[in-house]
Amino acid sequence: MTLPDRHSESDLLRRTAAGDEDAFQALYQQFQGPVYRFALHMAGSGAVAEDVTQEVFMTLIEKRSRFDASRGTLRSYLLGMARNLLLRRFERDGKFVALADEESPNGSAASSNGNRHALPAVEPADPVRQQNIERVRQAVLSLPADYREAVVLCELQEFSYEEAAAVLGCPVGTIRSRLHRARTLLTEKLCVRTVARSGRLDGAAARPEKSLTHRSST
Amino acid sequence: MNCAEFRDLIPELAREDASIGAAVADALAHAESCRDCDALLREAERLSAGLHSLAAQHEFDAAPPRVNASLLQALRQQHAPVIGLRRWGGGSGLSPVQGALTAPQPGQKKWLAVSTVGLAAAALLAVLLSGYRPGASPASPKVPESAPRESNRPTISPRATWADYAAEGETEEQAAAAYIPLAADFDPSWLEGGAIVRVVLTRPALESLGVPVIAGSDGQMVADMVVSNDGTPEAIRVVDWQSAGTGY
Repeated sequence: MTLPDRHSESDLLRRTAAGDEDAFQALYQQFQGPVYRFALHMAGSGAVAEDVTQEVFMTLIEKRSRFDASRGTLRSYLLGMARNLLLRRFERDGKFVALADEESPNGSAASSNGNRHALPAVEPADPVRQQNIERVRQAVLSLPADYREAVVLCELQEFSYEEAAAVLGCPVGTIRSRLHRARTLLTEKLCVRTVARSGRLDGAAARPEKSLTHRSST
Repeated sequence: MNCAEFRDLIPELAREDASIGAAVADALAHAESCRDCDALLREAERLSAGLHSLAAQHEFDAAPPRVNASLLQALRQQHAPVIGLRRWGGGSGLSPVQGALTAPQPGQKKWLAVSTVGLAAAALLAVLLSGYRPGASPASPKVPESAPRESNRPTISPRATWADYAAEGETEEQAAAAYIPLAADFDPSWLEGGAIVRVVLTRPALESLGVPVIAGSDGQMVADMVVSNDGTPEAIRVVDWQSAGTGY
């Protein structure tokens, strides 16, 4: 898929602000996915992701956009908006997720924020694999927001460090250091939970489960 | 490469990030000779695999279709004032101003947007000056003799519909289209209780909106405004433009 160049992005924005539905649809179809998934991974809630996506694109409709093509891509700009909306929402709701110590009855970790609109449970084709994915999801959600957004952008959405820096408005070095720290925290959280689940405290248990391995030992 | 240098590159190695370039070969060579670093790399790779699985599960997730539908509706509503004015201008007895608004040009659209916001402010001021109190039967600040409709309407009961605001011979849909939404969150499909107030926007009000009024003229705009129970102007429709004498 080819991304529209910045000139056409600006043109689509201008036409959208003028009420051109085709232009709006072109923008929406191109960018709603990344915006929605970023919000989904950041908030762990489909309802929040839906709200944020709507708010981001409403900004374009209401001509409140301050997009400057010389400062970055439209995708970075839209995700930056989504990020600001999410941070305001987290602040308003006092929603700082911590890694849950308890497991919910269905086996998935319950986030401590009592999320009313949690992601729907997916019927797993492979229950063990699904359980591992759920553990990773909860571990990501438990990260501090600064680290979480670096993981979501660089690891889950495969942004380059440069584009992630543009979204978050910080230097590339900051992205890199946050990602390092976030990965360390994730490893610790997943290892700790593995220990807690196995009831073992020895070094062998303090490793992520083998089912997460994607490269065989050599 | 020493252990510190290797560990600094672990995330990029685990992500198979090409940005580290030639350092990959050196790093992998170090991992083969250092068990601790090799273990750390494998741990990082397991984490990357888990993150990759999570990303893959949501790879095609998208906002539900209702978001797109809602945004399209908002886009249309955002430009609804032009539609409303066109319909209004399509009536009989067009003044020069009305004629100009019937087929707005790009520059005029900007004026329309500015004037719509200004109208809201001026109309609210007119309502306040008229002594309007929420919940009370509103009194028109100044009712022109030639006003084509009754000067006041009773307070609208809660959950009013556009039928309550329709003029004679006008359908509910036509009434909804004729009123220009003023509040950003105004939903024409559902109306709060409130009242309709007839206001007259006088020359100073017009001038405050930036409308060039010819010296000596006594132009004024008669409009009906839907006001919610808390006094917020919700929508407005122009009833008459009397001896406008504007430069348009």
